[in-house]
Amino acid sequence: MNPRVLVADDQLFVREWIREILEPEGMEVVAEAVDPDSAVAAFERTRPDVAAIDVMMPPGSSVEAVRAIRRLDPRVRIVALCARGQETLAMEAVSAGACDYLVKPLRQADVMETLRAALQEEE
Amino acid sequence: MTAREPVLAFQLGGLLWALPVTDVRELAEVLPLWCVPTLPHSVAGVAQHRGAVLPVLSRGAFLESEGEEDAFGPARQLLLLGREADAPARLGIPVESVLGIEELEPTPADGPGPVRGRARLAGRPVRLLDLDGLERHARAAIGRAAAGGTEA
Repeated sequence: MNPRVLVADDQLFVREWIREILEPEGMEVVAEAVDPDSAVAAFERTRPDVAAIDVMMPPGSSVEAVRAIRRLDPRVRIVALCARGQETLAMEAVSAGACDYLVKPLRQADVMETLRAALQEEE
Repeated sequence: MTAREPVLAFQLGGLLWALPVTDVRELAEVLPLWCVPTLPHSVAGVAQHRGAVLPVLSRGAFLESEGEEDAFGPARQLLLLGREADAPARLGIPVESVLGIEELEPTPADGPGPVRGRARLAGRPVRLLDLDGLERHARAAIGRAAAGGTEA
């Protein structure tokens, strides 16, 4: 079964770029979200294997969204996405339950390596 | 099963996109943008085209990508969108290259943003847009810029 991924980022380009990277590699993007609340709702609706969540998606707190998703499913693997200069916020997301983070601009090899590692941790 | 529909496929930001041919009026060279108070060119502007004022969405606003100071980036052409042959174009969007007319059989996309369908073209994913969705996308970008109080 293909790994199922939630992508939460308020930038269309990032969501589409991640989809462009993952789908040829056999991963299925099952939901997208553009803010923390809709990320939690999308997770609850689709229960993906891994969630990629931007740490800065106003309004709301992505760190709190990470906590909320982990409460819904402690097994889910969450990868935080951050821009350069937001690494401190990414570390807060890791403290809240994310297993790793990626710094934008996203490179194809880094995205694949990080998500594959997250999925292997889940197993 | 979804129906096949003729679309104009183009590339922007390294990704493939498509619009129903009925939403595309013209392909034009990049036009000089006029300044709109409180609206930076990195979001949108207006241009004069065939005597009418044309709203133009910038590359950065279309892609919702950061760090784009120039309205068009590497794009050298504008797709002018509209449905009525005897009315001015409703919106211009930058394109980096036009692939041509294709027939796609898209699956519906119900996520956020302007993508309303997905298909594949020569093995690559294509995102189907439409004029109404792009106009909403443009209004949202302009609204965010205005709320942010960005200076032109």
